[in-house]
Amino acid sequence: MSRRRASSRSLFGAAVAAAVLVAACSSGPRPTPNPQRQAADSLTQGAARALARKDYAAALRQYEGALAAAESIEDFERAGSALLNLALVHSRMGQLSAAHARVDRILAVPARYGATLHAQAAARKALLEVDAPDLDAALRWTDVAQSVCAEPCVVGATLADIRAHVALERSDPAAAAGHAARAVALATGGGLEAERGNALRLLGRAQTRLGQTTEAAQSLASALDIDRTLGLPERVALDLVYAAENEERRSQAALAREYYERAIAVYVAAGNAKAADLVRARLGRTAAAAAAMQ
Amino acid sequence: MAVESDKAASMRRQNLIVIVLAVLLAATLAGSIAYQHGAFSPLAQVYFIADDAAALTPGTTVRISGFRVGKISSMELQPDLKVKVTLTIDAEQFPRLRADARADLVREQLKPPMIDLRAGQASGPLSSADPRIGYRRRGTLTEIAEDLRARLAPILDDVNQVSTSIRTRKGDLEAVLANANTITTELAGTAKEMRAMATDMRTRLAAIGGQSQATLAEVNKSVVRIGGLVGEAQKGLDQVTTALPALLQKTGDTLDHVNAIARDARTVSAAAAATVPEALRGVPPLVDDTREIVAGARQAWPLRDFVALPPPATLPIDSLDPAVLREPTPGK
Repeated sequence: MSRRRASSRSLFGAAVAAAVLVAACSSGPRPTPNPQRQAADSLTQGAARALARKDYAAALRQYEGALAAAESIEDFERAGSALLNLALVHSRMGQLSAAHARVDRILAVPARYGATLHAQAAARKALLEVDAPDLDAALRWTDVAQSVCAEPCVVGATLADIRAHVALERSDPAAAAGHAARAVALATGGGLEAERGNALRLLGRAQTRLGQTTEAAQSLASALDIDRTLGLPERVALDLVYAAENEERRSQAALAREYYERAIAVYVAAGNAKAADLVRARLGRTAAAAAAMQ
Repeated sequence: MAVESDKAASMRRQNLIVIVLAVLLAATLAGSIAYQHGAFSPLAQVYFIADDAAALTPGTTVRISGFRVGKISSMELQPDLKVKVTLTIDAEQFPRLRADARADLVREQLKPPMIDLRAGQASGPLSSADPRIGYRRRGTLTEIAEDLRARLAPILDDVNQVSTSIRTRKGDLEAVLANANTITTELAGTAKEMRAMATDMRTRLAAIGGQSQATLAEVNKSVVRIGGLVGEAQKGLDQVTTALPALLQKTGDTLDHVNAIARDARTVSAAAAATVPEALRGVPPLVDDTREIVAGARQAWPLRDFVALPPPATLPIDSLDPAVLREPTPGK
C-alpha cells in the first residue's frame, strides 16, 4: 500500500517537472527586429538630444534620416512625428517656409497619418502662422485642429493659448483672459505643466490690461513658480518682464524695476544678451518716465 | 498662657514666610518659562496663503535653520476657500527675510509637522506692510520614496534590457566573427590560386601577341590588388577579434557599474523613509546619473545595434514655440 503511494507520488512529481520543462521550452521565438524602425528611433533620439543642446543642424540631419527610414517602410506614425519635429527645427532656425512645407505634407493627406497627427499638424501650422504673423490664418488652423482633435484633445490647452494670444494682439483682453483661463484648466487636467505656465502668463498679461493687477500678479507669480520648477530660463525671464509691466501699471516703480533687473540677470545668466539689452532699454525708458513724473 | 500665644504667633509668621516664598518661587518659575517662550521679546508676523489647511495647526513650530523662532498663531479661511496662515516669529528674525522668503511645511515620520522658514535671496527685504511669504508643502519621506521608485522603475527596466541584450547577443556576435574569419581565409586562398593561375596563363600565352600580353598583365595586377585587399580585411578582422574580449569585458564592467548604482539607489529609496532623509533628498541627481550611464551604455559599441529603443515621441506642440512670443516685448 505504502509502496504504491510512494510510486504515485514520484509519478506526480515527474509529471510536474515535465510540465515545467515544457512550459520553459514553449516560449515563442524573439520577434525579428526591424532595422529601419530601429534606425528611425535611434536617429530620432539623437535628434532630440541635438535639439536640446540647440545644435539645430545636427537635429535637422538626424530627423531627416529618421523620416527617410520611416518612409522606407511606410511607417506613417513615425514619419508624421519626424515631419512635425522637422517643422519645429525649421521654425527654430527661422526657416518658416521649410517648416510649412513639412507640415503641409501631413495636412495634404491627413487620413494617412491619423487624427492625432492631423490635429498636431494643424496646431503646428497655427503656431507657424502666429510667427508669420498672420493671425486670421492662425485662428483658421486652430479651428481645424480643434475640429479633428478627439477628446481629451492632446493639444486643447495649446489651442486655447493660441486663441488667447490672438485676442491679446487684437486688444481684446477680456476674451484673452477667458481663453487663457480655459487653457489653465485644460493644461492642469492634462498634466501639461509647461503649457499651464504659458496659460498663466497669458492670463496675467490679460488681467494686467484689464486693470486687475492684483490677480495678474498672482497669475504671473504662479507662472514663474512653474517655470522655475521646470528649469526654463527663457520663460522665467518672460514671467519677470510681464510682472514688471504689471507693477508699472499699478505705479509700483520700485517693484517694477526689481523685476526688470531680475529678468536681465536671468537673460545674462542664460547667455541671451540680445534679450537682456531689450529689457535694459525698457528699464531705461521706465526710469526716464518716472524721473519726468517727479 | 502668654508663652503659648508667642509660639502660635511665631508659627503663623513662619507659615506666612513659607507661603510668600512659595508664591515668589512660583512667580519666578512662571516668569522664566514665559521668558523662555519669548513672552517678553518683541514679535513680528508674516503670513502665507495655502490651498488647504492639511497638516497645519495653530501652535505648529516655525524654525529657521533648525532653530525655533516662532509658531503658527492663526489660520483663517478666505473667500476663495484658501487658507491664510499667520506665523508669529521673533521680531529680530524679520529683517533677515527677503522678498522671496518661503515657508516649507516639513512632515517626517513620527515627528509633528513643522514650518521651515527660508529667508530667500532676493535683493529686496520682505515688505513690512504686506509680509506675505511663499509656501510649499514638502512631500513626506514615503511620498518621496514612492516618487523615486516611480523614477527608478524605467531605469531598472533599461538595465535589465541591456543585461539581456548582452547575454543573448554575445554568442551571436562571436558566431558572426568566426564566420567572417572563415570566409576571409577562404577568400585569401582563392586570391592566391587566381594569382598562380594568372602567372601560369601568362607563361603559356606569351606567344599570342603584345596586346594580349598587356591585357593579361592588367588582369594579373587586379588579382594582386584583390589579394592585397583581402589581406587588409583579414588584418582588420584579426584586430577586431583580438580587441573583442576586452571590449566585451569593458561593457560588462560598465553594466556592473550601472547595476551597482541602480542597486544603491534602490536601497536608499527603500531605507530612507526610516533613516536617512537628507541622503534620500540627494538621490534625484544619482537617478539622473544612472539614466545617463544607461544612455551611455546604449550608445557604446557593441550595444548600440542590439538594444531596442523606445518608440519616438513627437515633440510637444507648445504655444510658446513661435519666436515672436519668446521675445521680451513688454508693453506691446
